[in-house]
Amino acid sequence: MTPIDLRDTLTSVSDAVPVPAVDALAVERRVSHARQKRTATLVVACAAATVVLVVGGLAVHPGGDRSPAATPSGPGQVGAAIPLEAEGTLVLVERDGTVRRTGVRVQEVIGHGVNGVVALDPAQHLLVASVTTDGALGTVHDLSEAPVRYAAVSSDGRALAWVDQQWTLHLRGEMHGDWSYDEAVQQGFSGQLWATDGASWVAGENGTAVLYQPQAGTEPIRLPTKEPAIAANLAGGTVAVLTATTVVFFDLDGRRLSTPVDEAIGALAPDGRTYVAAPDVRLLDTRTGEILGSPALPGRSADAIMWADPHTLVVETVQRETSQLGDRTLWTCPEGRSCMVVLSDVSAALSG
Amino acid sequence: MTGTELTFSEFMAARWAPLYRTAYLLTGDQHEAEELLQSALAKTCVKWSSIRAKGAADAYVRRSMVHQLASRWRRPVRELATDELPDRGHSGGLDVRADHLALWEEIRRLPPRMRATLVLRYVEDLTEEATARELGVSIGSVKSQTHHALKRLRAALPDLELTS
Repeated sequence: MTPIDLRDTLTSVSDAVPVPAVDALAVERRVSHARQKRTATLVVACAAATVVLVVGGLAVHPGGDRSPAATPSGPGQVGAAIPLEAEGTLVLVERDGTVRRTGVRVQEVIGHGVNGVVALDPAQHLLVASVTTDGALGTVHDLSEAPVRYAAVSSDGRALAWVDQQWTLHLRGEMHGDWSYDEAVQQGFSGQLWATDGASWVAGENGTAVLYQPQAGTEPIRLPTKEPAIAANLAGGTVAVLTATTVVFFDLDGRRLSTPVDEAIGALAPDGRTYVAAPDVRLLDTRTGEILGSPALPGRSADAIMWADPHTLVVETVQRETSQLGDRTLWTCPEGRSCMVVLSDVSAALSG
Repeated sequence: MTGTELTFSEFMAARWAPLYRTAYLLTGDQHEAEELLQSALAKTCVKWSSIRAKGAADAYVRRSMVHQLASRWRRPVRELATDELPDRGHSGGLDVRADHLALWEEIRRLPPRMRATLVLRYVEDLTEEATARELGVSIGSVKSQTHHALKRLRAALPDLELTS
């Protein structure tokens, strides 16, 4: 048996295997999930950021380990921890490059709010992991106590919502250091939960974003887009609806605020006035679609992007010439202008 | 995005079949292949605007598939080869020569990393260095995996002589 035999065999098998038709709907569903997962990965809400900022001034935290590849931004510039999923566990990266491996097994980080990091565990339960005042992992508890279908944290970190296996939506507000206050419970939820601001939520229903505002007593509002909608952000009275190639901004009355903008990947600022679009990290005015500015990241493309607080972006980039896996760098960009490296060679820094 | 630039939908429609074939060789299972490819395409779609050279998108999808498999085989339980293959009926549902089918059945029994090494080396025609980069392993590991794969296949099919 020779390599040529192997090549011939593999080629003949490859040629003979029946190829199923493209299931575009299945791919679309996965795109939606992948997009939500990527944007959620870097979520740090402003309220929680404040908590960690108090102790963020420490250059190196006891128990934390600094990645040798990281370029620290200096003790005076450190801030909130950035929760990441790395190799199936929750990792907290502080803005000085300190990496804290919590050992908590998670499948996906949903976000970060006033009560800690919200994540799905491997069994799809909704976990809340609190962060202590010295930036370490505090308690971890199972909020949903059952597998969930979808979950979202509001951009101010004060509310979270999830859909359980019985298709009931739970919208929780902050109370007594926990998300224990039921803002709303709605049975018979349909579609995918994409975003919430604590009072309203956006669901994806058959390729269309639908805005629900039960407290306002209004009927659900469909937010039409030319292409199928695959995700949405909701903050500051603005809904950003993402398609495969564009983002369209709406107000809470369902009025379109500007013409669709190309390059949908990005994140809506907590005030709803600015949207930052990848891969060039362009800040857009959601009312006009105009470009407000772009921090310099020469030779790099943004791969994931989030607002850490109302004034700070967190951006993960890849080298533009490769645009492939590897060469990843994590940055913070205060005021959306100059960016500072938090971690270089992210994959290596977070592995092991 | 310019009007002449390849859209993701066009790319997916054009490249679905060849990429599915690669996915099948990597997984050895038709259902898994479809799942793996759908997932890799979704990740590619999300990053489509940042992929400057659309002509290289094939490689991006393939790498994504390999990375997904790699993340599975890092878990030891998934690394184990099995003697029990999914029942896919007579001839495995493939219309290929009997000797090719016999060899393919043994290739399917290889651990996933070993099988992926063979696919990248002998179907995708990657160099040892490129294969190592794709798999995230050393060149020595690629050589070793290839050597042991051939050894296992020869041991499993000592009398196999492929007709030309």
